[in-house]
Amino acid sequence: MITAQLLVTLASHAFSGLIMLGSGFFVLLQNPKKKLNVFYFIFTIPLFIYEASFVAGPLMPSESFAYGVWFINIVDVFITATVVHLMFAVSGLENRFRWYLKATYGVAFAIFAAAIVYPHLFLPQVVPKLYFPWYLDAGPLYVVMFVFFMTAPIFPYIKLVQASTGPLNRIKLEYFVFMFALGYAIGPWNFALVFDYQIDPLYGSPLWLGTIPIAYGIIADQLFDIRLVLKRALFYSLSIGGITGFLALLIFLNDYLVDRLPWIQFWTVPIFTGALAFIVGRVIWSKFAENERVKYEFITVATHKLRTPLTQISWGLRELVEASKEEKPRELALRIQQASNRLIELTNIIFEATQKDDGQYSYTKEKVGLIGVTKDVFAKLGHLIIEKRIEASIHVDGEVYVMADERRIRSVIEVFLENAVVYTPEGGFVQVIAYEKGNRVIYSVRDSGIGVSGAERKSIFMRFYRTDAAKRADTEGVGLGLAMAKNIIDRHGGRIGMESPGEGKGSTFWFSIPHGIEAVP
Amino acid sequence: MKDSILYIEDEFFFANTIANKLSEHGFEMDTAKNGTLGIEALKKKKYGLVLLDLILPEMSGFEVLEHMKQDPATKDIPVVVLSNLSSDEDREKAKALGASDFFVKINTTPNEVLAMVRRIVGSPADPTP
Repeated sequence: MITAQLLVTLASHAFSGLIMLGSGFFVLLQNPKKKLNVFYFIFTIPLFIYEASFVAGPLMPSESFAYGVWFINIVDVFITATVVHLMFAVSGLENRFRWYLKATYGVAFAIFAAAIVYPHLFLPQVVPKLYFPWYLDAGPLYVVMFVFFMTAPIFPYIKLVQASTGPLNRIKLEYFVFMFALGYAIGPWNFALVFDYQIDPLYGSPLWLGTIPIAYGIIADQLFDIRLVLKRALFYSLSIGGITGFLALLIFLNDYLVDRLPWIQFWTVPIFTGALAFIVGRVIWSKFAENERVKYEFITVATHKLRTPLTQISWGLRELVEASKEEKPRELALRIQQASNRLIELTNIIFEATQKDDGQYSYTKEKVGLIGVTKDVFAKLGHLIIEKRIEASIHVDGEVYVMADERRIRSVIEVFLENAVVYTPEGGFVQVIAYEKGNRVIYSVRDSGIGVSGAERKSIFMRFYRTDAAKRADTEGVGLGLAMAKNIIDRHGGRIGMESPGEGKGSTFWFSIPHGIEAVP
Repeated sequence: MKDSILYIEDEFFFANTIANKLSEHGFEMDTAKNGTLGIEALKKKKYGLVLLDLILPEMSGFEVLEHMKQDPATKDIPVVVLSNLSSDEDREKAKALGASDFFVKINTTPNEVLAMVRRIVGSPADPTP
């Protein structure tokens, strides 16, 4: 007999399972190449299987079917193992505690194998409990599994808590500490009834409330303020839950109304709510767009206001340097000029970062000589090149032309060369190589600088991303240059990339774009 | 008059710096501190080039540009924008209104402005082609 109470509990669990698996796919699609994202996805699979069996078990027509489905509960051992793995992965201790991971997986497989061989030691029988036609009854092996489930994550959790008090990624880790605790506070309620404590397994259904914020923590690039992130994560969780719940309610309401009121057709409520959703969506979207617009406008105005005095300082200093005949004041003015240049760069970066690059504005196509631009940029970096005794060289057969947006291509070359010079230690080299290959132009900058480790290579073109070595070498970078460069090269229909044999071993940044110049027959 | 240049700019510092730099190199410089005065100056004298700021009191640089391009007497005078606005939107707008070039003050130097002026109108010593 399926009661309304059972239906609500099962629907909540079904909802939880689907939401968790959905979040897994979402996180995976955000960055399928990032290990942590893949891992979160894997983590949601046993969770989904667990919830699916939880929903299907009580609905089975016969005891033997119910037994078979409830037996899938054994998947808990893999939930445990993936929780342990995920905890280590977010705290970056995966490699250090490989032995613990191996042991956890070992125990998980051992319990799993034992349960397969001796199913009745795990699940002696399924019996009616509370309002469930069939529910689990715990055998000794089930107790072992439960103990494993509750204890195995303690050690990685302690390590996560310890890591969160360190200086590295403190806020992000604190966030995960809280979220895992939340997940574990909700998850185990289903077990009570297994051990005959009359606690409604409905309380175990909002497990997704713990996992969605973990998913958010993984995909959010940088968590600046824990309160803000918590608020945001809660907002996302409740929005997703709210929308799905609302849809479920609608379906229910629709069935109810169609049943009771003869003049209501099955499409009346969907059409009405569809229209309502559209209107609400529009209002929310326009508020959101307005908010964005105000933000952009504010930054545009603020940077513009800063630019006026900054330009005056910069121009004034130039005149002063030109006019200074004596060495000392000239040197002082040059130093102030460097500081002012840095300030200008920072305002430019803030400005560029807040500009919408939605493809709305066209790129001009003009004939650009890449080597000419390179020489210009090298000249601008001259003082730094001399100061660091860097051997800067250009290896080409002649000027390399390309049809491109000059200002933007110049920005890309500036980013490449500036990074190369800034991140190359004293006495190193920076080499520019450019050539035509088929209908494309390939431009690359090789340096003997700090290099990039394998794991960081994938993220280096992301906004605000800075490698650990880069943070150590230059504390003033922002992590926007390469993201901007990638955007520009993409808009030129080109490709951008980098190679590095590893940290400390130099790197080569390159782009290739169609040269767009018609061959003269 | 090919060598005479009008700089419409409300900030005295910029107007003064550029005017000095260009006059030192033989150009005849006039400055106007807002759009309205700029338009008036354009009526009185024939210029070879107009340097134009965008954020100006009374009449914005965009309006000046629009006005100039509609008036047959001024529509052929090259106008180079010299502003600290730099968004794509502003650049496109200036270009659509007929500006020949767009310089962001903070990313340029008085010497670069001089070089640009020379490129457009030639050096004052040059014989008119």
